[in-house]
Amino acid sequence: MTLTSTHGAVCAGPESIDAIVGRAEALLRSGDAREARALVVTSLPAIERHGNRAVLRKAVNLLGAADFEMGEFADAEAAFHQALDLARRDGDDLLLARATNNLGAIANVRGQREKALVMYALAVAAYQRLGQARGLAHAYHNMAITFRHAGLLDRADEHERRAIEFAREAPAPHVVTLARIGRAEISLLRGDARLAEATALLVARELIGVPDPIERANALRVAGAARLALGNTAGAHETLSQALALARRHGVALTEAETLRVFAELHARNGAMFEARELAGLAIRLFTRLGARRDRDSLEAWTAALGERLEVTPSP
Amino acid sequence: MPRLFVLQLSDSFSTLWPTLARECGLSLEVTTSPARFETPSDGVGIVAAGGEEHHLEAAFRDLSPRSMEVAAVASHAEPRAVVAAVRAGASEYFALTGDIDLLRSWLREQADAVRTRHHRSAFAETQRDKYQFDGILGESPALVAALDRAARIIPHSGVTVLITGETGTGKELLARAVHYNGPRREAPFVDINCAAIPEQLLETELFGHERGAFTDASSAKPGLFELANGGTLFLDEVGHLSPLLQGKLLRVLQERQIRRVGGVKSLPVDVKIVAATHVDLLAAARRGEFREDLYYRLNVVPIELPPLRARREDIVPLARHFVRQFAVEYNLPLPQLSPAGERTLRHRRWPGNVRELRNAMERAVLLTQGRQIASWDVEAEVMPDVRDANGIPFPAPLNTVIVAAVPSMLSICAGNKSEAARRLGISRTRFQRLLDHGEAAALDSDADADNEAAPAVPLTLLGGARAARARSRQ
Repeated sequence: MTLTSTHGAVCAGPESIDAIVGRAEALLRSGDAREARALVVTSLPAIERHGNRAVLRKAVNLLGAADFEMGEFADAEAAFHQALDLARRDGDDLLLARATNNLGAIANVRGQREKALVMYALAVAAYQRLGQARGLAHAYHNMAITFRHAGLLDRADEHERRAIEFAREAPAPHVVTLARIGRAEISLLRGDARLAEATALLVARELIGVPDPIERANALRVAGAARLALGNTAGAHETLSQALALARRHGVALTEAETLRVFAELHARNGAMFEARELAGLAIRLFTRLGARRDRDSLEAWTAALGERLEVTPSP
Repeated sequence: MPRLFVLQLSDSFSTLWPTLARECGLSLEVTTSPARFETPSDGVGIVAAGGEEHHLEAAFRDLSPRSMEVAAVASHAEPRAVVAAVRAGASEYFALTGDIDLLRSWLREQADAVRTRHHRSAFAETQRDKYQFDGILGESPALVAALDRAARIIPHSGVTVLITGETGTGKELLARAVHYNGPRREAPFVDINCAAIPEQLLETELFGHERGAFTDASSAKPGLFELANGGTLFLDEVGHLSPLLQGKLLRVLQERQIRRVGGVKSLPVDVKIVAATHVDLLAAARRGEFREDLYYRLNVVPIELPPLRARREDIVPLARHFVRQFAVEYNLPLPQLSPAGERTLRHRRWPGNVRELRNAMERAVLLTQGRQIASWDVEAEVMPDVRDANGIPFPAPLNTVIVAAVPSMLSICAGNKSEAARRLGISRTRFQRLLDHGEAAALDSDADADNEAAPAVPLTLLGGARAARARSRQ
C-alpha cells in the first residue's frame, strides 16, 4: 500500500510541487504540524505522479515528522519506514540517517529501548558515512535519553558528552543546550544535586538574551528540581516560578506540566498536600492532553499515594 | 559552494542558468568552448543544446575524462538523440521546458552529493585533529609504550587490533585515534557496545537482515558491517558477545564476508576491526566462555592501556589539562589547583580511571566557579541519598523508584497486595516479584513493564514525555 492510497487522493494545485513541500516544511518548523500534514497529504498524489523522487522522499519524511509531532506514532512509523525504503532505493544517505534516527525516537516513545538503541546506532553509522556532525549530535543525544530512561546513567552521560562534542563541531548550539540540560538531569538522577543545579543554572544564564525561551524554561525547571533535592525550597520556588512563567508565556505545555509536577513535589515537601494535589491535577490534565501516558500514569499513582497522606495530615 | 559548469552549444536557455544556480545553491560558470569546460569533483555539469541536439553526442565524446556528473539539456527528447547522448557519457537527459522540475531536483541532488563529499573530508580532518596522538596526555612509560605500539600499526590499514584496559582508561579514544590517523580516515568509524544490546538485536544490527527474515522485517536492512565498509568497526566490550555471534565474527575475520540474517548470499566487506575489552579474554577463553580461535584472531596487535594508579605521575598534569578545558568550555574563570588539592588527587583512588578524573575536574570547575580548587572539592564523591517524605528515592531512575514504591504502597494499603498493585498500575504477579526480588526483578521485567497499561509510580521529575516529544528529532 502506498501513502497515496493510505491518505487519499486529492490533486495538488498549480503551485510547483517543490514549493508545496517547502511550504509544508515551513509550516512544520513554525509549529503547525496539522496544516503541514494536510498540505502534504493533499499533494502526495500529484508528487507521486510527477515522478520527482527527491521531492517525493522529502514529502514522505515530512509526513512522518508531522504525524510524529501530532502524536500519531503508528502513522509516523509507516511514513518513516517508507522514507527509509525510498532512501535506500535512491541512495539518499542523509534521508536514510534521518529516517532511522526518527524510527529510533518512535521506538523510544514506545518504551522499546533496545530497538531504539539499534536504530540510533544505525543512524550514527549513516551520519558517520556522511561526515554529518549535526546528525551525530542529534543521534547521540537521543541515545543518551534512552540510556537515561534505562537507568544506565554513566553511559547516558558519555553519550551526552559526545552529542556536545559533535554539536560544537557542527556547530549546533541548540543541541549543545539540550545535551547540557540532559547532563544536568543525569546528575540529578545520580543524586549529585549540587552539580545538577550548577549545570542547569549555567545553561539558563547562557540562554538569557538568546531566543530560546523553551530551553531556558527547561534549564530552570531542572535547576528548581535540583534545589528541591538539596532542600532549598525557597530557591526552588523562585526558579520554578520563572520556569513556569516562561513555559506559559510561550505556550510550551510539556515544560509547563513538568514544572507543575516539581511544584507539586515542592508543596508536598512543605506539607501543603492540598496545593500539591491541585498542581499535580493540573499537570495530569496537561500530560493527558499531550498524550504523555507514562507521565500521566506515574503522576496519578503519586497523587493517589498523596491522597492517603492528605487524609491523615491535612494541610493547614 | 559547489559549482555549476555549463557548456552552451546554442543560445537557448541561457537566461535560465543564473536562476537555476541560485535556486540550487551553486555558483555558475558558463562557457561555449568544450576545451574550457572544467570537470572538477566539486562541481556538476550541463551540456546545453537547445536546437542543436545533433551535436550533443560529439560534445560529450570531446569532454575530457571527468570526475563530475554531466547532464544533457535539450529542447526535445528525440529517442535517438537521448540514447546517443547517454552512450557518449551523459548522466541524465532533460528536455526543457517540460523537465524543468526534474532538472532542478537533479541539480540539487548533485549539489548535495558534492557537499556530502566535502563534509566527509572536512569531518575526517576535524576528527584527525581531535584525535592526534600528541593530544593523548601522559608521560608514564606504560602509556608511552602503548601509544608507540598503536602508532606503529596505523599505516597498516587492515590489521585487527585488540585494546585492553580497565573501564575509563581511554580505549575508545585510542580506537578513534587509530582510525582517524590511518589510511581509512575518510571512511566511517562505526562503534558499537556489545554489552548494550541483546544478542538477537545485536546480530541484526551487525549483519543486517533480509526482508522477511523475521516478523518485523518488512524490508531488507544493511547492518553495521556494511555501513562501516571501507572504514573501521569498533567492537567495544567484545567479551560480551554470545557464542553464536563469536562464531559469526570469526567467520567475518577469516573470510572478509558477511551474510545478512535470513540471507543466502555472502557479501564482501572491507572493514578494519578494532575490538576492546576490560576483561581478560585469554582467561575467558580458558574457562570456555570465549572462543580461543576468535581470541587469537582478534589479538593480532594487542594494546594494553594502563590504569591511572599505574601512572600516578600523570594525574596532576591531566587534572590541570581538564581544568583548563572545562573553564574554556563553560566560559568560567580559570581556577587554580591548590597544593592540598593536588595531593588529594595524587593519593585518591581512581577506580574509574581517567574518565573519573575528568568528571571530577569538570565538577570542581563548575562548583568552584573560578575560586581555588581545594582538597575537599576533589575528594571522592559521596552522593547524598535524597529521599522524599514517602521514603521513595528522589530523584532516582524509574526502576529504583518502582522498587521503593512497592513496600511503601503495600503499607498504605494495609498489606493488601492486590489493591497496592492496582494503585501502582502493575499486575499483582509483577508486584509480588518486585516485593520478593527488588531491583533485580525491576530490571528483568523492564520491557514487560513498558508494555503494561500503567507503568508505575510516582514523581521522578524526569518523565518519559520529553523523549516522547523527541526534541532532537530531525
